[in-house]
Amino acid sequence: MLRLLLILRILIIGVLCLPGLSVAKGTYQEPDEFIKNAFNQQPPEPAIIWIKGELREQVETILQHGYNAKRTRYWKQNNRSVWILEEIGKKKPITVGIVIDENRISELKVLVFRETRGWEVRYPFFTQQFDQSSLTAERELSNTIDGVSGATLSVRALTKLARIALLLNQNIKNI
Amino acid sequence: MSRKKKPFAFFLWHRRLGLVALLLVFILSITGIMLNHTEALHLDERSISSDLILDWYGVNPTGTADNYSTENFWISQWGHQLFLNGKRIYTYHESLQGAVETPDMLAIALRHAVLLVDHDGEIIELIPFNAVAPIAKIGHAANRIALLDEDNIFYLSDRHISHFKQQAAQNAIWSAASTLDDKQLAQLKQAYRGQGLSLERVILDLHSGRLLHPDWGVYIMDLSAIIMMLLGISGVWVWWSRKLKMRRKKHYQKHH
Repeated sequence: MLRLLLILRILIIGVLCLPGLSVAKGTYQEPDEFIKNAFNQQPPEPAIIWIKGELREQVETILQHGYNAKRTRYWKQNNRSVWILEEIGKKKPITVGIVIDENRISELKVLVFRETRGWEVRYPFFTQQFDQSSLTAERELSNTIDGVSGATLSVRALTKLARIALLLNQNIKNI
Repeated sequence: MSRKKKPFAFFLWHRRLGLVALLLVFILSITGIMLNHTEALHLDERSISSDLILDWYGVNPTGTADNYSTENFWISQWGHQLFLNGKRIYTYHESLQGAVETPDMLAIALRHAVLLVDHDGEIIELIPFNAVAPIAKIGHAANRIALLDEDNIFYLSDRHISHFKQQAAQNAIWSAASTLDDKQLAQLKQAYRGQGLSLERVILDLHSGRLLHPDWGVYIMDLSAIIMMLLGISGVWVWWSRKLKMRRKKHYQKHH
Protein backbone atom coordinates (compact mmCIF):
# COMPACT_ATOMS: atom_id res chain seq x y z
CA MET A 1 0.00 0.00 0.00
CA LEU A 2 2.78 2.36 1.00
CA ARG A 3 4.66 1.48 -2.18
CA LEU A 4 1.55 2.21 -4.24
CA LEU A 5 1.19 5.61 -2.61
CA LEU A 6 4.82 6.36 -3.32
CA ILE A 7 4.42 5.44 -7.01
CA LEU A 8 1.28 7.59 -7.21
CA ARG A 9 3.13 10.50 -5.62
CA ILE A 10 6.00 10.17 -8.13
CA LEU A 11 3.51 10.04 -11.01
CA ILE A 12 1.66 13.13 -9.80
CA ILE A 13 4.91 15.07 -9.36
CA GLY A 14 6.00 13.94 -12.82
CA VAL A 15 2.75 15.09 -14.43
CA LEU A 16 2.98 18.43 -12.59
CA CYS A 17 6.54 18.89 -13.89
CA LEU A 18 5.57 18.24 -17.53
CA PRO A 19 4.14 21.71 -18.26
CA GLY A 20 7.27 23.21 -16.72
CA LEU A 21 9.44 21.23 -19.10
CA SER A 22 7.42 22.26 -22.15
CA VAL A 23 7.57 25.91 -21.08
CA ALA A 24 11.33 25.63 -20.52
CA LYS A 25 12.25 25.98 -24.18
CA GLY A 26 10.83 28.71 -26.36
CA THR A 27 10.87 32.43 -26.98
CA TYR A 28 11.04 34.36 -23.70
CA GLN A 29 11.22 37.76 -25.35
CA GLU A 30 11.23 38.82 -28.98
CA PRO A 31 14.58 40.39 -29.94
CA ASP A 32 12.76 43.53 -31.18
CA GLU A 33 11.11 43.95 -27.77
CA PHE A 34 14.44 43.54 -26.01
CA ILE A 35 16.00 46.26 -28.20
CA LYS A 36 13.05 48.61 -27.66
CA ASN A 37 13.19 48.11 -23.90
CA ALA A 38 16.92 48.84 -23.87
CA PHE A 39 16.29 52.23 -25.52
CA ASN A 40 13.04 53.27 -23.79
CA GLN A 41 10.92 52.20 -26.75
CA GLN A 42 12.86 54.45 -29.15
CA PRO A 43 15.62 52.31 -30.60
CA PRO A 44 18.11 53.81 -33.06
CA GLU A 45 18.58 52.37 -36.54
CA PRO A 46 20.80 49.29 -36.54
CA ALA A 47 24.46 49.70 -37.44
CA ILE A 48 26.77 47.10 -38.92
CA ILE A 49 30.11 45.76 -37.88
CA TRP A 50 32.06 43.66 -40.37
CA ILE A 51 33.74 40.67 -38.80
CA LYS A 52 36.90 40.24 -40.79
CA GLY A 53 40.67 40.09 -40.45
CA GLU A 54 42.04 40.20 -36.92
CA LEU A 55 38.60 40.73 -35.39
CA ARG A 56 37.33 37.57 -37.06
CA GLU A 57 40.29 35.62 -35.71
CA GLN A 58 39.58 36.92 -32.19
CA VAL A 59 35.87 36.07 -32.45
CA GLU A 60 36.64 32.58 -33.74
CA THR A 61 39.19 32.05 -30.96
CA ILE A 62 36.48 32.80 -28.39
CA LEU A 63 33.92 30.65 -30.19
CA GLN A 64 36.44 27.84 -30.77
CA HIS A 65 34.88 27.39 -34.22
CA GLY A 66 34.22 29.43 -37.35
CA TYR A 67 31.83 32.39 -37.35
CA ASN A 68 29.14 31.80 -39.95
CA ALA A 69 28.50 35.39 -41.07
CA LYS A 70 30.61 38.24 -42.40
CA ARG A 71 28.89 40.95 -40.44
CA THR A 72 26.54 41.48 -37.55
CA ARG A 73 24.15 44.25 -36.51
CA TYR A 74 24.03 46.25 -33.32
CA TRP A 75 22.12 49.20 -31.96
CA LYS A 76 24.00 52.10 -30.41
CA GLN A 77 22.98 55.30 -28.71
CA ASN A 78 25.39 57.38 -26.65
CA ASN A 79 27.46 54.91 -24.62
CA ARG A 80 24.94 52.10 -24.79
CA SER A 81 25.06 49.34 -27.36
CA VAL A 82 22.76 46.36 -27.76
CA TRP A 83 23.68 43.04 -29.35
CA ILE A 84 21.56 40.12 -30.41
CA LEU A 85 23.84 37.14 -30.80
CA GLU A 86 23.44 33.41 -31.23
CA GLU A 87 25.55 30.42 -30.30
CA ILE A 88 24.81 26.73 -30.30
CA GLY A 89 24.51 25.18 -26.84
CA LYS A 90 24.49 21.50 -27.62
CA LYS A 91 22.65 21.22 -30.92
CA LYS A 92 20.54 24.32 -31.41
CA PRO A 93 21.29 28.05 -31.25
CA ILE A 94 20.52 30.07 -28.13
CA THR A 95 19.56 33.69 -28.90
CA VAL A 96 20.86 36.15 -26.35
CA GLY A 97 20.33 39.89 -25.96
CA ILE A 98 23.19 41.84 -24.38
CA VAL A 99 23.19 45.49 -23.31
CA ILE A 100 26.57 47.15 -22.84
CA ASP A 101 27.01 50.47 -21.05
CA GLU A 102 30.46 52.03 -20.92
CA ASN A 103 32.19 48.77 -21.87
CA ARG A 104 30.42 46.82 -19.14
CA ILE A 105 27.50 44.46 -19.48
CA SER A 106 24.43 45.97 -17.86
CA GLU A 107 22.02 43.25 -18.97
CA LEU A 108 22.24 39.80 -20.48
CA LYS A 109 19.06 37.96 -21.27
CA VAL A 110 18.26 34.65 -22.95
CA LEU A 111 15.66 35.55 -25.59
CA VAL A 112 15.15 32.26 -27.40
CA PHE A 113 16.12 28.86 -26.05
CA ARG A 114 15.68 25.94 -28.43
CA GLU A 115 17.46 23.11 -26.62
CA THR A 116 15.64 20.61 -24.42
CA ARG A 117 18.22 20.86 -21.62
CA GLY A 118 20.16 23.60 -19.93
CA TRP A 119 17.31 26.14 -19.90
CA GLU A 120 18.15 27.07 -16.28
CA VAL A 121 20.54 29.66 -17.74
CA ARG A 122 17.55 31.86 -18.54
CA TYR A 123 16.93 32.65 -14.88
CA PRO A 124 18.20 35.94 -13.39
CA PHE A 125 20.14 34.06 -10.65
CA PHE A 126 22.44 32.97 -13.49
CA THR A 127 22.33 35.91 -15.93
CA GLN A 128 22.91 38.51 -13.19
CA GLN A 129 26.42 37.11 -12.81
CA PHE A 130 27.31 38.90 -16.06
CA ASP A 131 26.24 42.32 -14.76
CA GLN A 132 29.08 44.87 -14.71
CA SER A 133 31.38 42.37 -16.36
CA SER A 134 34.02 43.78 -18.71
CA LEU A 135 36.65 42.25 -20.97
CA THR A 136 40.13 41.65 -19.60
CA ALA A 137 43.30 42.03 -21.67
CA GLU A 138 43.16 38.26 -22.27
CA ARG A 139 39.62 38.70 -23.63
CA GLU A 140 38.10 36.90 -20.66
CA LEU A 141 35.21 38.15 -18.53
CA SER A 142 36.23 40.15 -15.48
CA ASN A 143 33.49 38.44 -13.45
CA THR A 144 33.66 34.80 -12.44
CA ILE A 145 30.68 32.96 -13.85
CA ASP A 146 29.55 30.00 -11.76
CA GLY A 147 28.18 27.10 -13.79
CA VAL A 148 24.80 25.45 -13.49
CA SER A 149 24.82 21.70 -13.10
CA GLY A 150 23.28 20.01 -16.11
CA ALA A 151 23.61 23.18 -18.21
CA THR A 152 27.36 23.24 -18.84
CA LEU A 153 27.08 23.74 -22.61
CA SER A 154 24.47 26.50 -22.29
CA VAL A 155 26.64 28.27 -19.69
CA ARG A 156 29.62 28.00 -22.03
CA ALA A 157 27.57 29.39 -24.95
CA LEU A 158 26.36 32.39 -22.94
CA THR A 159 29.85 33.12 -21.64
CA LYS A 160 31.23 33.08 -25.18
CA LEU A 161 28.50 35.45 -26.38
CA ALA A 162 29.14 37.86 -23.51
CA ARG A 163 32.85 37.95 -24.41
CA ILE A 164 32.07 38.43 -28.11
CA ALA A 165 29.63 41.27 -27.42
CA LEU A 166 32.24 43.08 -25.31
CA LEU A 167 34.90 42.45 -27.95
CA LEU A 168 32.70 43.76 -30.77
CA ASN A 169 31.71 46.74 -28.63
CA GLN A 170 35.39 47.61 -28.19
CA ASN A 171 35.83 47.45 -31.95
CA ILE A 172 32.93 49.70 -32.94
CA LYS A 173 34.72 52.60 -31.27
CA ASN A 174 37.38 52.35 -33.91
CA ILE A 175 34.92 52.59 -36.78
CA MET B 1 13.07 -48.78 -45.22
CA SER B 2 13.53 -45.69 -43.12
CA ARG B 3 17.19 -46.61 -42.38
CA LYS B 4 17.95 -46.65 -46.12
CA LYS B 5 16.38 -43.18 -46.61
CA LYS B 6 18.57 -41.37 -44.10
CA PRO B 7 21.73 -40.75 -46.20
CA PHE B 8 19.58 -39.78 -49.17
CA ALA B 9 17.60 -37.25 -47.06
CA PHE B 10 20.83 -35.67 -45.85
CA PHE B 11 22.10 -35.39 -49.42
CA LEU B 12 18.78 -33.82 -50.40
CA TRP B 13 19.06 -31.20 -47.67
CA HIS B 14 22.65 -30.54 -48.69
CA ARG B 15 21.43 -29.83 -52.22
CA ARG B 16 18.52 -27.65 -51.07
CA LEU B 17 20.72 -25.58 -48.79
CA GLY B 18 23.21 -25.18 -51.62
CA LEU B 19 20.51 -23.88 -53.97
CA VAL B 20 19.13 -21.47 -51.37
CA ALA B 21 22.54 -20.05 -50.55
CA LEU B 22 23.81 -20.00 -54.13
CA LEU B 23 22.79 -16.42 -54.96
CA LEU B 24 23.81 -14.99 -51.58
CA VAL B 25 27.13 -16.81 -51.62
CA PHE B 26 27.78 -15.44 -55.11
CA ILE B 27 27.01 -11.89 -53.88
CA LEU B 28 29.18 -12.35 -50.78
CA SER B 29 32.06 -13.78 -52.78
CA ILE B 30 32.02 -11.30 -55.65
CA THR B 31 31.58 -8.24 -53.40
CA GLY B 32 34.23 -9.64 -51.01
CA ILE B 33 36.73 -9.96 -53.86
CA MET B 34 35.86 -6.42 -55.05
CA LEU B 35 36.33 -4.96 -51.56
CA ASN B 36 39.69 -6.69 -51.27
CA HIS B 37 40.77 -4.68 -54.31
CA THR B 38 39.06 -1.34 -53.53
CA GLU B 39 42.06 0.77 -54.45
CA ALA B 40 42.89 -1.09 -57.64
CA LEU B 41 39.27 -0.91 -58.79
CA HIS B 42 38.96 2.76 -57.62
CA LEU B 43 35.68 1.93 -55.88
CA ASP B 44 35.97 4.90 -53.51
CA GLU B 45 36.46 7.33 -56.40
CA ARG B 46 33.47 6.24 -58.45
CA SER B 47 30.11 7.86 -57.74
CA ILE B 48 26.74 6.25 -58.25
CA SER B 49 24.55 8.06 -60.74
CA SER B 50 21.66 5.61 -60.88
CA ASP B 51 18.45 7.34 -59.74
CA LEU B 52 17.11 3.98 -58.55
CA ILE B 53 20.00 3.42 -56.12
CA LEU B 54 20.10 7.09 -55.04
CA ASP B 55 16.36 6.99 -54.35
CA TRP B 56 16.89 3.78 -52.38
CA TYR B 57 19.44 5.60 -50.22
CA GLY B 58 17.20 8.67 -49.96
CA VAL B 59 19.81 11.09 -51.36
CA ASN B 60 17.79 12.14 -54.38
CA PRO B 61 15.81 15.36 -54.07
CA THR B 62 12.04 15.13 -54.05
CA GLY B 63 9.60 17.59 -55.63
CA THR B 64 10.84 20.38 -57.86
CA ALA B 65 13.26 23.24 -57.33
CA ASP B 66 12.21 26.91 -57.06
CA ASN B 67 14.46 29.18 -59.08
CA TYR B 68 15.11 32.89 -59.48
CA SER B 69 17.68 34.47 -61.78
CA THR B 70 19.54 37.76 -61.53
CA GLU B 71 21.85 39.26 -64.14
CA ASN B 72 24.80 37.02 -63.27
CA PHE B 73 23.45 34.39 -60.90
CA TRP B 74 20.77 31.76 -60.54
CA ILE B 75 19.42 31.00 -57.10
CA SER B 76 17.53 27.81 -56.35
CA GLN B 77 15.88 26.10 -53.47
CA TRP B 78 15.32 22.37 -53.37
CA GLY B 79 13.94 20.94 -50.18
CA HIS B 80 15.37 23.15 -47.46
CA GLN B 81 18.62 23.78 -49.29
CA LEU B 82 19.57 27.01 -51.04
CA PHE B 83 21.92 27.05 -54.01
CA LEU B 84 23.80 29.79 -55.79
CA ASN B 85 24.75 28.89 -59.37
CA GLY B 86 24.30 25.25 -58.46
CA LYS B 87 26.48 25.45 -55.35
CA ARG B 88 24.93 24.73 -51.98
CA ILE B 89 25.16 27.80 -49.71
CA TYR B 90 22.62 27.53 -46.90
CA THR B 91 19.93 25.42 -45.30
CA TYR B 92 16.73 27.15 -44.28
CA HIS B 93 13.25 25.85 -43.52
CA GLU B 94 11.33 28.68 -45.23
CA SER B 95 10.48 28.95 -48.90
CA LEU B 96 12.41 31.10 -51.35
CA GLN B 97 10.52 34.24 -52.42
CA GLY B 98 13.03 35.79 -54.82
CA ALA B 99 16.53 37.20 -55.15
CA VAL B 100 18.19 40.41 -56.32
CA GLU B 101 21.77 41.30 -57.09
CA THR B 102 23.81 44.34 -56.06
CA PRO B 103 27.43 45.13 -57.02
CA ASP B 104 28.65 43.57 -53.72
CA MET B 105 26.12 40.99 -52.75
CA LEU B 106 22.90 39.12 -53.37
CA ALA B 107 19.78 39.55 -51.27
CA ILE B 108 17.75 36.34 -51.11
CA ALA B 109 14.24 36.68 -49.73
CA LEU B 110 12.76 33.95 -47.56
CA ARG B 111 9.38 34.29 -45.89
CA HIS B 112 10.63 35.83 -42.64
CA ALA B 113 14.22 36.75 -43.41
CA VAL B 114 16.51 38.18 -46.04
CA LEU B 115 19.73 36.28 -46.55
CA LEU B 116 22.68 38.35 -47.74
CA VAL B 117 25.49 36.48 -49.48
CA ASP B 118 28.51 37.72 -51.39
CA HIS B 119 29.09 36.78 -55.01
CA ASP B 120 31.00 33.67 -53.93
CA GLY B 121 28.06 32.44 -51.89
CA GLU B 122 29.64 33.30 -48.50
CA ILE B 123 27.02 34.24 -45.91
CA ILE B 124 27.11 37.90 -44.96
CA GLU B 125 24.07 38.07 -42.71
CA LEU B 126 20.60 36.71 -42.19
CA ILE B 127 18.33 39.69 -41.52
CA PRO B 128 15.12 38.73 -39.75
CA PHE B 129 11.91 40.20 -41.17
CA ASN B 130 9.52 40.68 -38.28
CA ALA B 131 6.50 42.26 -39.98
CA VAL B 132 3.08 40.71 -39.40
CA ALA B 133 2.83 39.28 -42.91
CA PRO B 134 5.65 37.31 -44.50
CA ILE B 135 7.67 38.50 -47.49
CA ALA B 136 5.93 37.97 -50.82
CA LYS B 137 8.39 39.67 -53.21
CA ILE B 138 11.85 41.16 -53.37
CA GLY B 139 13.09 43.62 -55.97
CA HIS B 140 14.89 46.87 -56.77
CA ALA B 141 13.43 50.32 -56.20
CA ALA B 142 15.21 53.69 -56.04
CA ASN B 143 18.62 51.98 -56.06
CA ARG B 144 17.70 50.07 -52.90
CA ILE B 145 16.35 46.64 -52.10
CA ALA B 146 12.57 46.59 -51.89
CA LEU B 147 10.28 44.09 -50.18
CA LEU B 148 6.57 43.58 -50.50
CA ASP B 149 4.82 41.55 -47.83
CA GLU B 150 1.70 39.45 -48.29
CA ASP B 151 -0.45 42.37 -47.07
CA ASN B 152 1.00 44.47 -49.94
CA ILE B 153 2.98 46.65 -47.53
CA PHE B 154 6.11 48.07 -49.14
CA TYR B 155 9.54 48.15 -47.43
CA LEU B 156 12.82 49.67 -48.55
CA SER B 157 16.31 48.91 -47.32
CA ASP B 158 18.90 51.43 -46.16
CA ARG B 159 22.13 51.98 -48.09
CA HIS B 160 23.98 49.17 -46.26
CA ILE B 161 21.02 46.78 -46.41
CA SER B 162 21.09 46.53 -42.63
CA HIS B 163 17.33 46.83 -42.16
CA PHE B 164 14.06 47.39 -44.02
CA LYS B 165 11.68 50.24 -43.32
CA GLN B 166 8.03 50.55 -44.24
CA GLN B 167 7.51 53.19 -46.96
CA ALA B 168 4.91 54.38 -49.40
CA ALA B 169 4.78 52.02 -52.36
CA GLN B 170 7.15 52.86 -55.22
CA ASN B 171 7.75 51.46 -58.64
CA ALA B 172 9.88 48.40 -58.24
CA ILE B 173 11.32 45.71 -60.46
CA TRP B 174 10.40 42.49 -58.71
CA SER B 175 12.35 39.27 -58.90
CA ALA B 176 10.45 36.69 -60.94
CA ALA B 177 10.64 32.91 -60.89
CA SER B 178 12.69 31.36 -63.67
CA THR B 179 13.23 27.90 -65.07
CA LEU B 180 16.45 25.95 -65.30
CA ASP B 181 17.85 24.33 -68.40
CA ASP B 182 18.82 20.64 -68.37
CA LYS B 183 22.47 21.38 -67.62
CA GLN B 184 21.62 23.58 -64.64
CA LEU B 185 19.14 21.02 -63.36
CA ALA B 186 21.75 18.28 -63.56
CA GLN B 187 24.24 20.53 -61.74
CA LEU B 188 21.67 21.28 -59.05
CA LYS B 189 20.87 17.61 -58.60
CA GLN B 190 24.55 16.83 -58.25
CA ALA B 191 24.96 19.64 -55.68
CA TYR B 192 21.95 18.39 -53.72
CA ARG B 193 23.51 14.96 -53.48
CA GLY B 194 26.73 16.56 -52.20
CA GLN B 195 29.72 14.26 -52.51
CA GLY B 196 27.26 11.64 -53.69
CA LEU B 197 27.31 7.98 -53.05
CA SER B 198 30.50 6.06 -53.69
CA LEU B 199 30.52 2.68 -55.38
CA GLU B 200 32.52 1.38 -52.41
CA ARG B 201 29.65 2.28 -50.04
CA VAL B 202 27.15 0.39 -52.19
CA ILE B 203 29.39 -2.68 -52.55
CA LEU B 204 30.05 -2.65 -48.81
CA ASP B 205 26.32 -2.46 -48.07
CA LEU B 206 25.64 -5.22 -50.59
CA HIS B 207 28.31 -7.36 -48.93
CA SER B 208 26.93 -6.80 -45.44
CA GLY B 209 23.29 -7.03 -46.55
CA ARG B 210 22.43 -3.50 -45.43
CA LEU B 211 21.50 -2.58 -48.98
CA LEU B 212 18.51 -4.94 -48.75
CA HIS B 213 17.34 -3.42 -45.48
CA PRO B 214 19.20 -1.21 -42.99
CA ASP B 215 18.01 -3.26 -39.99
CA TRP B 216 17.48 -6.86 -40.99
CA GLY B 217 19.53 -7.04 -44.19
CA VAL B 218 22.60 -8.16 -42.24
CA TYR B 219 20.69 -11.14 -40.87
CA ILE B 220 20.08 -12.42 -44.40
CA MET B 221 23.81 -12.35 -45.02
CA ASP B 222 24.38 -13.94 -41.59
CA LEU B 223 21.98 -16.69 -42.63
CA SER B 224 23.86 -17.28 -45.86
CA ALA B 225 27.11 -17.55 -43.86
CA ILE B 226 25.48 -20.10 -41.54
CA ILE B 227 24.16 -22.01 -44.57
CA MET B 228 27.70 -22.03 -45.95
CA MET B 229 28.94 -23.61 -42.72
CA LEU B 230 26.10 -26.15 -42.79
CA LEU B 231 26.94 -26.93 -46.42
CA GLY B 232 30.51 -27.69 -45.39
CA ILE B 233 29.34 -29.98 -42.58
CA SER B 234 26.71 -31.72 -44.69
CA GLY B 235 29.21 -32.06 -47.55
CA VAL B 236 31.70 -33.83 -45.26
CA TRP B 237 28.88 -35.97 -43.89
CA VAL B 238 27.71 -37.03 -47.38
CA TRP B 239 31.29 -37.76 -48.44
CA TRP B 240 32.01 -39.75 -45.25
CA SER B 241 28.77 -41.74 -45.39
CA ARG B 242 29.43 -42.61 -49.06
CA LYS B 243 32.95 -43.69 -48.21
CA LEU B 244 31.64 -45.94 -45.42
CA LYS B 245 29.02 -47.34 -47.76
CA MET B 246 31.67 -48.13 -50.38
CA ARG B 247 33.87 -49.77 -47.75
CA ARG B 248 30.98 -51.91 -46.55
CA LYS B 249 30.14 -52.83 -50.14
CA LYS B 250 33.76 -53.91 -50.84
CA HIS B 251 33.87 -55.85 -47.58
CA TYR B 252 30.60 -57.57 -48.45
CA GLN B 253 31.82 -58.45 -51.98
CA LYS B 254 35.11 -59.78 -50.60
CA HIS B 255 33.57 -62.10 -48.03
CA HIS B 256 30.48 -63.25 -49.89
